[in-house]
Amino acid sequence: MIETGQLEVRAGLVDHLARLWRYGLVLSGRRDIAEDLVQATCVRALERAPQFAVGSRLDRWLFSILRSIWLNELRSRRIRQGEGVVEAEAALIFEGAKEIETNILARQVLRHVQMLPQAQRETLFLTYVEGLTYRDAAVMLDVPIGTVMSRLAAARETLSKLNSAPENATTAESEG
Amino acid sequence: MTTSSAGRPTEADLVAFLDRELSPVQVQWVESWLARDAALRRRLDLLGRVGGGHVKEAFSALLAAAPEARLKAKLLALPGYRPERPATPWRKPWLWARNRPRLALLAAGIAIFMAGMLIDRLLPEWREVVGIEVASDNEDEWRQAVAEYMSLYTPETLSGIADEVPPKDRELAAVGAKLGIHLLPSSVSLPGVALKRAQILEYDGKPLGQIAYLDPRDGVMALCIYADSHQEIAPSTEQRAGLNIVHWASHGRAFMLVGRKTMPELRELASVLSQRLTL
Repeated sequence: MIETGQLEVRAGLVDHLARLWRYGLVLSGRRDIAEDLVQATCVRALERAPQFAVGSRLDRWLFSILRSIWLNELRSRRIRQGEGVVEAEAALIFEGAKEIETNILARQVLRHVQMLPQAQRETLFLTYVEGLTYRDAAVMLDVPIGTVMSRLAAARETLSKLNSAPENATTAESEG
Repeated sequence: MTTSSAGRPTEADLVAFLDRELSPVQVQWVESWLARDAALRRRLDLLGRVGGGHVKEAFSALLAAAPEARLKAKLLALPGYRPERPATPWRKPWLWARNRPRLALLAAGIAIFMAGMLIDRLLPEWREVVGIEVASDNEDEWRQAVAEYMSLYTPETLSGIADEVPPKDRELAAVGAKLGIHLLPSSVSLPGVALKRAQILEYDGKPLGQIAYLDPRDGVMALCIYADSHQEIAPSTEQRAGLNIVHWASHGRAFMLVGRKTMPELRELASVLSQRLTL
């Protein structure tokens, strides 16, 4: 007989694959690693399904698993292989994003987000994209809430500059 | 919240204020400062220019880029994933489905997936019959990514870009430098289509050049050059993401011409380009 938690994990996993992949991309900056991360997360989630608290947020639980795999396994392996983690200036935007042709500001935002330090980028993503409260983000990232605030402030400061001369930026984008 | 509610609000306080993360008391405190501190108001205005909503919107496009079908296929292939049936007797299968609609949906999804696999297995023969190359090895994944990307283009994507040569000149030189190939407007110009833009992208850590054209009749077309090929490939045709493609590889670089032109037309243009670029 399967526990309810297991059923919930099995039934719900499939709904979160794209968002997990996106988080993996934010962490690793590479679509192939993001894909590996999702796969590893699915394996781990199925193994740990009995531990899932029924009624709690499955997406957050999966995110924690993915993050832990990235921090403890894949990232260190890549560094050992000398492949580095993310070359901020290398990709025009995140590899997986390709380009957002329809919205120039969106392109600029993604490009600048990619250039943020990893900790700021992840905090910004979890808070604004995935909608975690400051408190939830602090728990997920295992940092004090003040750190979440200062990371967001630093990230917003950087992003505010990208839009300080929108006309010029827009012209450059449309030509580029 | 670590905000002290005393003294002048910091940048972090202002951001938390914008994000509605402050308590009512803290909100009052920030508002009272804003009412009398013009510099603080300017800071708030600046920090608010790119808000959480902008970030969220920018990232929403990333979801569309997720290889969802492949992720699902991998999940379904995991040994522990097979949705197990409850220990109730099989006499009432529909009761089980009624009580667990998501599982029933999942089962339906698996059935569709299995059907899809069957079709995939049969498809190669069909493709061979009609002369379309079967694309499956890793070397061609970049073409799939490019085709999916190009399928998002509309003529409006490029129509706003002027046709003047000088900026293209510089763009091509920059793209060429990244790819280690000499690119000139004369080497990539094609009859009847306007050369619109050259830019460098990246796929799997390697530079990917894109030269975009606009055809008055068939819309967007692009020549893409990927600086990572381990094979020599003669010009071949295929279809991906609803687009026609001619691709070839030479001297460590893979090329693809992708667009909505007919295959014979595309093949002719590709032949011109391959002669100019692979000499």
